[in-house]
Amino acid sequence: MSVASTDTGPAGTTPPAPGPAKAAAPKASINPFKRLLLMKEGSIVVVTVATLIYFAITTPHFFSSQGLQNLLPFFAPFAIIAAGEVFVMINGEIDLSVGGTYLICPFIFNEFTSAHIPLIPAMILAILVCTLVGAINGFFVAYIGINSFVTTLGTLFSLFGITLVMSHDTQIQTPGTSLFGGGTFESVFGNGTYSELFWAIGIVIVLQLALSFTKWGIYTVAVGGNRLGAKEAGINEKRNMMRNFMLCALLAAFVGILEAVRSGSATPDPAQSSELMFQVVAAAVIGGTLLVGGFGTVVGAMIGALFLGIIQDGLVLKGVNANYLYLYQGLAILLAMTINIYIARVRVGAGRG
Amino acid sequence: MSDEDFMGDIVERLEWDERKEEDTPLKRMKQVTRRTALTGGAAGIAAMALQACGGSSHKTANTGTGTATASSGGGGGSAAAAIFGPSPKYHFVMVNHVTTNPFFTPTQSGAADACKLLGCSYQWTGSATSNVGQMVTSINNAVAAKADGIAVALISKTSFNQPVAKAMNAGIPVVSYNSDVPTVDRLSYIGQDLFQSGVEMGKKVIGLVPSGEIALFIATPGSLNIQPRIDGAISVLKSHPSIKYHVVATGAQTPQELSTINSWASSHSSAKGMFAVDAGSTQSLGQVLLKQGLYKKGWKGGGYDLTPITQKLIAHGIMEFTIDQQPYLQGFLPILQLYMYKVTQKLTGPATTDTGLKFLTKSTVGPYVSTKSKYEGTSTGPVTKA
Amino acid sequence: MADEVARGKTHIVETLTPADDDVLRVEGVSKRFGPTVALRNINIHLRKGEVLGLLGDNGAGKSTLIKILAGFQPPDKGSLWLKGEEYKPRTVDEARSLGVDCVFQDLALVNELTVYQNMFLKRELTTKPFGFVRNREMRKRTRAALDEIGINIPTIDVPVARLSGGQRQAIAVARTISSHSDIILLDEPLAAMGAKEGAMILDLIARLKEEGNVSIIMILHNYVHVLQACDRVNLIQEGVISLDKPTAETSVEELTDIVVEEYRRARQEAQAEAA
Repeated sequence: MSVASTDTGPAGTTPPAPGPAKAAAPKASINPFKRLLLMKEGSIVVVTVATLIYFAITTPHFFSSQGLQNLLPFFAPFAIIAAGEVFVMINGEIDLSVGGTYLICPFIFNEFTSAHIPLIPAMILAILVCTLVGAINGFFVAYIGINSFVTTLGTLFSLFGITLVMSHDTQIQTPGTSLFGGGTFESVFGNGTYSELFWAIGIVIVLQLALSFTKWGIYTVAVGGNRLGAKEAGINEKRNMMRNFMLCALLAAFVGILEAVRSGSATPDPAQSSELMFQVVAAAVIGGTLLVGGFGTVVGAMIGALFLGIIQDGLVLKGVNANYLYLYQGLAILLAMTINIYIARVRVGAGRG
Repeated sequence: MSDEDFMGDIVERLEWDERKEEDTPLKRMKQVTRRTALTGGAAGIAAMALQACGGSSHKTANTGTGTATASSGGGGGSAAAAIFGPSPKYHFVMVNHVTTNPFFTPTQSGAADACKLLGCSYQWTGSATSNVGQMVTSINNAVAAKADGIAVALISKTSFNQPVAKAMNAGIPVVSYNSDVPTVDRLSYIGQDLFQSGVEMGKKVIGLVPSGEIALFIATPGSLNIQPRIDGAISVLKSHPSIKYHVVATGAQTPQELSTINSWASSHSSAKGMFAVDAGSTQSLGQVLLKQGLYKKGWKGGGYDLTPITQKLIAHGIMEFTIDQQPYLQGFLPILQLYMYKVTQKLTGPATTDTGLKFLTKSTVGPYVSTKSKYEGTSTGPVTKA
Repeated sequence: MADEVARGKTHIVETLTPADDDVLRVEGVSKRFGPTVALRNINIHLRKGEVLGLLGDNGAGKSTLIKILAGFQPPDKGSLWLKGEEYKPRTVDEARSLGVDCVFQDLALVNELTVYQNMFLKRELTTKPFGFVRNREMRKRTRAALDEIGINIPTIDVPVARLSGGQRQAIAVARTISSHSDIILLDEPLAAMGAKEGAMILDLIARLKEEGNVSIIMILHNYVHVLQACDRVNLIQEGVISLDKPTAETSVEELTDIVVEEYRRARQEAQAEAA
């Protein structure tokens, strides 16, 4: 979304009232820092940069080139899924099933390659099948009218069950990967050093552009901000919501494959898969997307994911005792959100969007 | 016939049974774990039990054609019946604390195989998240449904006393496996103490890295099926001040574990080794040793469980060892013991059994990795992955 | 209906008396929501270039009728005719494509979107390949439209949440008027406005009427406004049209009398039933 700018008064007709004229004047004197803060993503950028500096100073090996490379898998996968979750959240809904789609996609991929379908078509097919899960979510939420929390929870559990049954609870080696690495497929899709980063940046850019500059993005905000009003304006709110759920599932499935390629194997144990969903939603919320809908930013979610990733990676490097890890992460999230809210108030007070 | 040969026979018979099944990673794992469990030291125990069930019935089998034409259910069952007299088809309940954890997949295979040989059935239930309340409910349900026997992993010092006592009072035999509380009124315990396995690993670590900095990775601290392992290792390492160990939590999912271990390794370049107590961390630390070339710099690595990648890394000499706690036996033997108890009408059966642990190193891991060609002589070749 | 005739309500519009230059006709439309009957038997016609005022109590069914005409919901029974052709819009979009645009009572604005984004909601201008919205063009046109109408909104880049009720309503009205539709439906267009802003809107409507291209149906509460701005007035009571008169032939007093009379009669009936 564009940074707010003041018109200097329309040509002809009524002269600008004294109020706007005053607002126009200080434009020159707003320093760049405040300008940054007033952007939607401003506060999370500040918080993240501060955290980055903190760890760079206090933790050796963090800011080295190897250190930064190590940072990537801590945030890139979450940034990608969060991009999709942002669209769903702006609609005023939530998709809890991302952990399930993430879990099952590598196994569906494996089934297809076992059926002698070549690597890339098999991967695309697997992702399409998982996108169907998103369509199921969208159907129940938009057309039947079941609450999205409940719907996606049901989908999540179903996916867990199907994954276990399909895989007989046995780990598999991800198709297309080899012990010593280096193959083209695996380098492009997750195992190359910068592979996940490129995918994350590319996807985030495309989706932020879509959100800000296409009808789809505008309708997403409309449906989330005023569902009845959007319908009255002629927007097909059901189709919009369906699309967003499908997008979210697609990205979760894709990341499932990326991560399975990077680690070389896929394990069907779902017992801890919910943590992925929490981290994704946290990244979106910390990045500035509201849980209630009507407002959101994809770039913000990526920075939120980066923030969470820096915390995790930094704490590991610091050698923090395993037991304290969760505690510090929780405190960091609270701190980040507090700063976010405080800065948001400043933004509202300044009269900007 | 020696015990080894005899057990080899049994294994072959079961594998012949499965020849028509599709070749999947599951099938291969099943066959590997069965083989390793039923050969070696454990062969003696299993052989003894199975002989009683008419395992040596090359002469007395229903078909009478000998060798490898065992059939499922009926053949074994009638052979057992030939020894013990006819019995109803028993139904046993196995209660577990991490029902979806792949560690126990071989356990389920073991239970399934035993049931096949003995003509019984079993149910795999409990909790996926170490929720003791759910496990107690499962036990109570088994009692209400008049199960013929219960095997349960006792992961709580106090919560299982009453439910187990109730089952025993109702005439239902109860054994424990994998995790034990001696004060609970169960008939026997089959397994090896997780703590004890950690102690063994600790000793091994000292042998590999006499002094220096090492990491001990654990996926999720506090988890009841892996925390005792690391506690056991630490108990040994504590008394060797020349070794400085760091306990690091790696996370629940393998990709996350890989990232965490990667970060740790690159920021502790003066360390000498990395060890882990769960399957995902073990596999990941091996991958990091490979990717960062640390195995060439003399770093030592080792851990638990037998993922295919772990096996390969050991075969290539990148990791030193992995520990197999023979989960197959932890499913096979409880069913066996419960069956014996029922069919002999309480005369015999239960016997606390230490299933031991196996260290797999470069020299012994060979069969695992090449299992495709050697042990599946009667099945079609492996499915090639592009 | 017989009992209503007996009660003296002789001016119920039971069937349509169409005119030759009707652009819109509503015949026998009824609509219910569960047990509630919103419309029972509605017969309305709208002539070209006419401004028709729609009056009635809260809950009398005015908004329901407007929503049906706008394509938001279908009627249960009855038929609609647009410029002589049968008119069965399935969506608001379809209605708009046929030339019928509407300002809903709740304005259909999205708080988080800016003024110009709301002006072009579901009417966005897009680039030819890729379909990106043309923000610059949309802002230019918004500015022009608002200035032409004379509404004072200094910045069109702010979210509409920041504007006053009157400004928001003005934007909703401006959006519809700028779409150059043949038929415009307005549901309480003056509700949030002060005297000056309200006068501006009425002025605008008068200008449109002079141009003669647009036909308008307006729901209003203020009888003075009705007589001032409308050519003809319909009164909805209990789901039917109970009055259809040119404004020149009626007065504020007469309209008030009818409504109060009805209220009194209903109260008497209720008391009689209770007794």
